[in-house]
Amino acid sequence: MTQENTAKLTKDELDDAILGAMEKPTIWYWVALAVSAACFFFGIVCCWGYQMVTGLGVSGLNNPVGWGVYITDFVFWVGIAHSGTLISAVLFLFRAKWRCSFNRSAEAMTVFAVMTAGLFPLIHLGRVWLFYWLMPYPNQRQLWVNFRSPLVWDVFAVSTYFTISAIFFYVGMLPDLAIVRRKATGIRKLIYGALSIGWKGTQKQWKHYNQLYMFLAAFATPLVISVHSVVSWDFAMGIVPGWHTTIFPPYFVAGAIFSGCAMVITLVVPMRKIFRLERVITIDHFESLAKLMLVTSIIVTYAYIVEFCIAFYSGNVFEAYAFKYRLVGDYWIPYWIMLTCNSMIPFLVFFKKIRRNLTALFIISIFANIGMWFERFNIFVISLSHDFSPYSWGMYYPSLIEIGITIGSFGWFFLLFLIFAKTLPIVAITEVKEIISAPDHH
Amino acid sequence: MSKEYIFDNETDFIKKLGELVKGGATEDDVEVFAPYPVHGLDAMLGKPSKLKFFTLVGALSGVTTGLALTNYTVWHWPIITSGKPIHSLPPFFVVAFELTILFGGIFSLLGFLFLSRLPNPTQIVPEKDYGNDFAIIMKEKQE
Repeated sequence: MTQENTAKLTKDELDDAILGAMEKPTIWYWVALAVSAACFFFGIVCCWGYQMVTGLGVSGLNNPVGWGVYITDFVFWVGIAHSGTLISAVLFLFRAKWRCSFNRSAEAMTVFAVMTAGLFPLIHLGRVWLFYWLMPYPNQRQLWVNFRSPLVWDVFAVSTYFTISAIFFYVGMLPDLAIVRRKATGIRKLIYGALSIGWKGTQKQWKHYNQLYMFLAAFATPLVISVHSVVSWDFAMGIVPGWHTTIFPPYFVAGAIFSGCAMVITLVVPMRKIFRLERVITIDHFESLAKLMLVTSIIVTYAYIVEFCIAFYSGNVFEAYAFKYRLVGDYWIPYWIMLTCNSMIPFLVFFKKIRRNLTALFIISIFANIGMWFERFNIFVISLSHDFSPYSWGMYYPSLIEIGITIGSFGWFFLLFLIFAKTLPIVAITEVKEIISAPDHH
Repeated sequence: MSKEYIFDNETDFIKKLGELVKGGATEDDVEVFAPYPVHGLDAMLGKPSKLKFFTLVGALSGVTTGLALTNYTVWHWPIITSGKPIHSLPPFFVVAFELTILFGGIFSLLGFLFLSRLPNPTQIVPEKDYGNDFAIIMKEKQE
């Protein structure tokens, strides 16, 4: 299936097709770049700057809701980051051939999404200049951080995830950078030469390279699962009704992969069109990705149902109330947006016609992104706003500054991705080459 | 004189290399260039990569560091939080697990760079680049 479409390409044509994307950008690229840069400037520079100068009071955060849009954004972006590693590492270990047309963009997405996610704990800090207090080191009275706290695990998990994803991204790209070096001229040749650190493609190098790649994939796979489990424990370790459940880690991991697949589709559909990569990234590839998105959507839907069952059968009035409140309480609109976007619209992918239609997939993927953002919002905000004692109940509304910073984070993410799309090879050339040249080995 | 064979496809390349190996060539006599990792080549030439030892050492030092750091710090100042035991192993394993992966990954990368002799400043702009071709270079025998 895969070979039929790509087999028409020779190795040289493949190089040209993918490196062609790195040539002089079109006007639309500059427009997209300018819009992203403007969002970044407005959200991260202006809104965050204003918050730093004025104080955290400019956000809507107050008692009882201390975790609002910032933490929602953090978990949303960490979630986006997850399917990058899933597509690269897990599918590599399963020898899924279709991964090779997506894995580079997915890995790039991972690295940039973790960079975006990493901003939010800092934004949420208020006094960001004290960020190093998060690090595990003793204070002046020789007291260390509390390793029993899930927030400290998060520091370890997210920084490990960023480091390993960045290594995985770079290592995967190393042979491709050498191809860019061969085709480039002038100063670019030197830059890509330096980036490819003298890779020659000798048998000895490939031997170690293959082992390294396999080990990194084997490390990254449990890492994906652990990182989002740790993120979910930030909540599940608390006693707040609606948070304190054991289903959280698998539920969060499935949700993360769902949103990540959706984001890959959102990014790759236009990228394929703009850079004319139709011969490399085929409809079959998208279909496989859409199926993965559908499976995770079903798991997420299952988790929504199970949550209600646990709350109902537990006989715990607080837990049962928390879920009733989600469904028909003050925040029913975000809850129903989530249900529609995550558990109804993605089911259209069951129809073969729809999952092979890129426009439809693109629209569904955007709904899935919206739905997953609201899922996190619902979990954090609804639970906090109505906890045990009616005396402490209260409503939370995001302020304009919080919305601005959220827009800024999208600007930052797309800015990084657009720069990547013009400066680095966007498809794993070497791996596609391996498949088109040696079909009988697979 | 060193001999150079260049092929544009994998089949001919593997065939020729097979002949050379049969004729007694080892990993040290030939230098082989390939545009992508060719299956079965590792088995034909030389010993398996030693990278796994770097990975193992990294992973072991990671898990040790994680357990040592967490247990040492709570022992150093035993302060009870949330009524939990001072040495709470389950949470410490989370930290140890993340460090296992972190150190394992970093050691693997360093091991790869060391074993492949990278970064190699002399090859930043290589004189010879075989591109999409497969090349076998027989080195001159040192008599």
